[in-house]
This record gives sequence, C-alpha cells and structure tokens, in this order.
Amino acid sequence: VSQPSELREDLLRRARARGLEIDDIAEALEPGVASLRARLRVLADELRPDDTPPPDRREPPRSS
Amino acid sequence: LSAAFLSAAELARAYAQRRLSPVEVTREMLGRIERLDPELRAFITVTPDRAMEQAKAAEAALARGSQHPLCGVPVGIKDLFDVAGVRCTAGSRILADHIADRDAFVVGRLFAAGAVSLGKQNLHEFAYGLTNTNDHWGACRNPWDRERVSGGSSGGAAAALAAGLCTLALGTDTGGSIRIPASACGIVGLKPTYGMVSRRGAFPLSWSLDHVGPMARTVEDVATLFSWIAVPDSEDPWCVASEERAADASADLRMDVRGLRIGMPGTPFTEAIDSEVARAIESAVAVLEALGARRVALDTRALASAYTAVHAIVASEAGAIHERWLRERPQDYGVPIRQSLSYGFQVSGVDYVNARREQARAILALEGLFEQVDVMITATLPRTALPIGEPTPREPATAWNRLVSPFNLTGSPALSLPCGFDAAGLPIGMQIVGRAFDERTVLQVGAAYERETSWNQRRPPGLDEVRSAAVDV
Repeated sequence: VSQPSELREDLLRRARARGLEIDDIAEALEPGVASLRARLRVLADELRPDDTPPPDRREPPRSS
Repeated sequence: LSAAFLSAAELARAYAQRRLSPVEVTREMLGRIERLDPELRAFITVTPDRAMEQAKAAEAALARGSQHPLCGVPVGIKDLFDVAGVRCTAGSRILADHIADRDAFVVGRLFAAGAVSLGKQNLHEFAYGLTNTNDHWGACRNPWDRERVSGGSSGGAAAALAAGLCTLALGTDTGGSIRIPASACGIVGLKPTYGMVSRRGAFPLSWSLDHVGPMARTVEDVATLFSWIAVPDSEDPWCVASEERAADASADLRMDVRGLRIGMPGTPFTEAIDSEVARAIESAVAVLEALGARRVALDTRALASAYTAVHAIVASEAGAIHERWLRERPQDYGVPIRQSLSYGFQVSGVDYVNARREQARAILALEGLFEQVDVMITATLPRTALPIGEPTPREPATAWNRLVSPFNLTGSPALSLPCGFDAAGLPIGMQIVGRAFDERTVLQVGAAYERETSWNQRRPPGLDEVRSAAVDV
C-alpha cells in the first residue's frame, strides 16, 4: 500500500464528514476522482455566467 | 412450433390462428429458463406459478376475443421494477428480502394487456454499472460467449432475449443501461425521450437521467411495447407522455427512408472505436444510403463534456439516494458499487450545478444539430462485449458507455439494434438518436435497416449444450 497522498487524505476527510468509511477503497478511488475533479474545473471555466440555467426536467425538452 | 425466438408480433398471429397457446408457450419458456439459466444467470427470481396463472388468464382472454398484441406474450422484468407480491432486489443484498406491495406503472400496463411475466431479471447492483457482473446474484453471462459480460445494467433482459428465454423485456437506462446490453447481446433496445415513460415503481439511480424503456429482438416489437407503456401517469410528476405521441411512434415503421438526413458525428464519437465496429457502422449507413437516405457530417464538439457531466450528476444523485445505507450497511454493497457511489461525496455542490448547466447547454447544442439532420448514427459501444472481470474505465476517452451516455444528458430518444458481428462472433450495435419526442423517426430508420439485413435472425451458438450445473459467482 502506498503512502497516503494529500488527495487521499482529502477523500477520507470528505467521506468521514458524512459518516462514511472508505479507507479500504480510497486508494482505488484516487485517480478517478482526481480526473473527474480536473474535468469539472475545466467545465466550470468554460461556463459563462449568462449560460442557460439547469433544465427543469419536469418540462419537456424545448424541441417538443 | 418452438416459440423461443418468435417475435411478439409472430406470437400474436400464432395465437390468433390457434397454432400456439399462451399456456404452451409459457411452459416452453419456463423449461428453457430451467435448462439454460443456471449458467446464464439472466434471472434473479423466476415466478413459474404466477406465469402459468397469467398464461391461463391470457388464454381465456384470447378465447373471449382479445386482440391485444401483448396478450399472452412472455416478458421479463428487470429486478428494479416493483411487482406486487414478488421480491424486488435491485440486484442488491440490501433489498434481498424486499417484497413489493404494488406494481410499477409499466408493470401494471403489461399485466393490463395480458402479458405473462416469467420473473425478475438480473442487473448490475442498483443499476449502477455497465457489465452486470453482480457480486450478489451472479455475473450475467453473454449468450454469444459465456466468458463475456452481457453488458449492463439491464443485462439479464438482454441475455434472456438473446437466448430465447423471453419475448419482450423492460429495462432502465441512466448512462446506457438499455443500449449497452442490447448491443453486447445482439438485441434491440430503446431509451425513449426523457419523461416519455413513467418511472413510478422503478428504484431510482439518478432522477435527472433515469429512463424506462422496451427491449426485444425486433424493432417492431420494441415499438409495440413502447407505444403501450408511453402513456400518461398522473402519479409520476416527471412523466410528460401523451396518448397521441405513443400512438404515433409506430406510424412510420413500414415507411422507407428516402430523403432522410443521417447525421454522422465527429468528436467525441469517433475516437478509439474498434476497427471492426467502425466498419460495421460504415456499412450500416451505406445500407441506409442505398435506400435513399443522405449522409450529413456533423460538428459534435459541443458534446465533449457530456460524459463528465453525466458522471458528476449520477454520482451525486445516487450518493444522495444511498447515503444512509452506505453509512449503516457498507458491508452489504459490492466493492465496485461502493466505489461508484463514493464519487458522489467527492464533488461539490457547485460541481453538481455546473454539470446540470452543462446539461442545459448540451440540450441546446443538440437541438441545433437536429436542424441539420433527422437522426444521428453512432456505434453503441466502441468495442464488443468485454471479458468477465475486465475493469471498465471511467475516463471519457476510454469509457465503454461514452457513446451512449451523452443522450441521457440530453434526454434524446436513442435506439440500439444489431448491425453486424466481429471476427470473434460477438454482436455489434448501431445507435440511432433522434430529436426529443421523435421516437417515430428513430424507429422508422431502425425498421428500414432491419428489413434490409438479417443480423437479428442469427442465434447464439450452443444454446442446447449449455450445462445445467450452476456456475459459481
């Protein structure tokens, strides 16, 4: 088992804050979470303040 | 006359002509399940007594003159849908003893038509996964190669249809869970437009992305089942179905495709596609061109972040659904789904909202593309059925569901149907995507292609030699 990284400590801290224990899977989660967070940061940078708000999914998509 | 691989339409004709009866067909199907399913593991719960009761009732209804196309048709129900009095496990240990007290809306529709339920079908645990390698109820095996996955999460439905263990099935699709197993097992599956089919009584995975849809061996059967279940449900606030739209869906099944514009997407739908899969899609589009359709190249870069948005939304919403059980009963989850669910606690509220904003952007972008074309065609899967045990990557460049999940985000209707086989004899699926609420054109194109080809007439090899001994999980 590798030494806990800063990211893994963060994963564990966030999980514990919700009462969840993920010690046994944290190492396996690390690369996927790092990638997802990085991609979500890119997405956040792409979105403009005046971009469309989230859809109200109780309404049909507009092309109906 | 064996009913194992007859379509629902053929069964209905055989019943009308008194060449077959629901009781004998149900008996044959139950016999096949008893013989083949110990290895395939397409079912979690088989309900033979109930099936025979329903078959007798259907026989009586036919004798009284019922002409409903689903009367007496054997169906499989993904074990995510409630059936009153039958356990509904959602493929989990947590709900292993849960008995439903009411039918899901779509189940009630099937029973009202006189369909015969054979039982509850295997799925990836809580429908959160692409392979249907279920830690609790057994890996559902692909009838074309039993060392390969059926695909998931509606893998039991697809495997059972491919093996002739049912005629129709109900699935759900949050990130590809109808289309992935349909492609991997060589059958037909439709993810309808978001909101077109009630989700009441189906255990949720992600409210913003969950869809309920039909699975079968022919486009016509999928259309028939869709038209029957895509009706209003006043108890599902997200259901926007209408009787008119449902009836319209099958209207053009026998129309040709002359003049229709077929969109051929670019990035992110064209990278790292297996060469045999790419060739099969190219050949399929050529078939449609020969029938008079026109190919139009599309710039689909606006959908490049769709996969990431789906991942963030599903993980967050599923995390919200499962948080309490994850805290109190973590040992009752399989390790893979605990990992999947744990992502939800690692993204922020801001990330989730941005993912939902990306959903709105993707819907608008796709609307723009559908001003240029009538349907869009992609491969369903970038490669054919994976070996059991092979990990499924979550990166957008390599994920097995990266071609299908963008259309959960946009809520578009999307059909998968067989369009070839690779050198190993594994099915290849083509995905046809349409405008919101335009199932009619999607089904029209699928039916036209199906008439010109015979991929759905092939059957998995060696079904009669499957060992009856159970296979360990």
